[in-house]
Amino acid sequence: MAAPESGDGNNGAARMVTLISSDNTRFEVEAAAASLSQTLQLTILDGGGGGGDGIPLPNVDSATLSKVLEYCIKHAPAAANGGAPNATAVDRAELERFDNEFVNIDQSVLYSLIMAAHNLEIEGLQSLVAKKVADMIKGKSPMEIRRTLGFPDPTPEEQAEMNAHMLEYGWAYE
Amino acid sequence: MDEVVDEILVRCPPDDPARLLRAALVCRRWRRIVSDPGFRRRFIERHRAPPMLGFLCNVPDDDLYLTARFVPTLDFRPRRAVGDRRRAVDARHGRVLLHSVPLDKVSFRFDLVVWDPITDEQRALPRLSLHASPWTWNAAVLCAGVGGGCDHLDCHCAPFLVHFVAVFNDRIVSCVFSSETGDWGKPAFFHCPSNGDLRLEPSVLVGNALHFVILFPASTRILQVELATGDMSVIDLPPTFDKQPHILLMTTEDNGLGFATIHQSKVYLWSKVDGIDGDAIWDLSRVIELETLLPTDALSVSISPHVVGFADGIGDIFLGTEVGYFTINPKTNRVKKVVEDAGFFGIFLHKLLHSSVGGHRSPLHKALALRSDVGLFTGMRKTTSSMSSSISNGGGAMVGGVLARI
Repeated sequence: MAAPESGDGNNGAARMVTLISSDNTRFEVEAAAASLSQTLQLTILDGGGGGGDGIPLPNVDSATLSKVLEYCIKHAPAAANGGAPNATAVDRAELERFDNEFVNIDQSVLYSLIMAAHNLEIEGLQSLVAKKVADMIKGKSPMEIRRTLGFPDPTPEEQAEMNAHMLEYGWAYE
Repeated sequence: MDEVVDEILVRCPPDDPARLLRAALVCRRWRRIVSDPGFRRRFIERHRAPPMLGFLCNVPDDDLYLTARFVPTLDFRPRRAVGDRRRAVDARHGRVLLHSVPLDKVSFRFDLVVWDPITDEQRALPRLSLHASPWTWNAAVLCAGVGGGCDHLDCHCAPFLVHFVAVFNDRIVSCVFSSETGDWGKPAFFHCPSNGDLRLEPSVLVGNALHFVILFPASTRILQVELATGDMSVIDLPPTFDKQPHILLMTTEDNGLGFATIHQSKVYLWSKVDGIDGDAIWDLSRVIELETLLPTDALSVSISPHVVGFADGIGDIFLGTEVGYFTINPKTNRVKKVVEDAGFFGIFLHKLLHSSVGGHRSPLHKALALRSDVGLFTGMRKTTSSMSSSISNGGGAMVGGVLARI
């Protein structure tokens, strides 16, 4: 059970909601954490997800959801403080450290995470993973970007188009 | 999932223009996303501080024609060499004003071209007919939306104006070209007490007025040209500094008029405040001691450091020294060497607030939401530095004024 500290709920204990992944795993999490998702927030405000019901998430598998919730639980207290204007430098540094480690993951997990963050509309997480991918393509040629992100090899037609553009913008490849 | 790709690409930092360009070449879908005007706008809004792409400097070519060259500070390169006997006169709001140097180097012709260094579009201005050759002249290019609320973040395709000012004996003439009408407007005149020498130092835009440095026999002053009315007036400098032959106009932190000058290894920053009776009052806002900030060899006595430019929006002041070019941030005193000795002796650096890339050349070009600041640097080789220092010393100002226009 969660510690009765948030005052979010009638009996002093934090209100819990249940999320159900695509492979039918149930996750019980504080409503405040799950509410980082804009998609879930309305349902939760309407009183959904409690008791035995649970909110089904048919697009998110359990491995990804577990990762998403790890992020939400870590960021929920700061979000509850309205973006934590009163957070100490130590708190902020800790969140930053967490974020850096959080995205230091296998690419397949990262891509599932991008899609989940997008579907669940978790702004901070969307931003974090997008930034990570933007960093991953730094200094790479279009072909290297394709390989990094697991695109199939270009068709001869696509290849010719790429070559033509690369000739035109030679400065970008020096 | 275009939105997901959009979220990723919009986070490419603006000071790495090649990254976005390479990303745009990954596949058609990415190209389409980056080409979307909405993407460009989001990119600009996210990265409001535009990066400095480089400078334009005027250096003599093999035939000693002053020719504009681009000195990159990032990995952007314009699609063409700027030069071909064209000198950069001004740069602002994403556009560069170039002057084609006459073949004989001394006859007087106004072949002016406005060029967008990123889209490579250029527009030749109709020749301005003047009854005589002016004593000295200067010109400024700017977005026509000045005063109309344009933030100049994405106005490179919008109409522009070119303000031309010239001195004929005791008269100053101002004339404006509008890209919308495609022609020069009616000239405005201003009588000045004595022959002035309009300096080549870059003009500065403050509010709705352009400001140029003008040297009179007894003092250095600032010529103010109101954009809306064409009205001209002359602003005096603080008495102790009005003999200073070389000043650099700049905008202050609160978007007022200011100037910088160097005296005895110190940079003096002045800002203008309005007095009760409308007279200009100058306030000495900062003094920066260069001896503690620059390397010893930059403080050469033979060619002492000089202020060559100001990066509006970034706030850095550019200093030319014998060993290269430095930027100093007046707020932080942070010094950075930006150009090694490039083989020329810079006189001025204009600031070009570039907005976004855009343009019409290709869908990709249309796309690239790159923004840039391009400084414009008008310089001479070191071999001519004795001449430029004589200009700086006030002697031979007229000669300098004419020669430097070659």
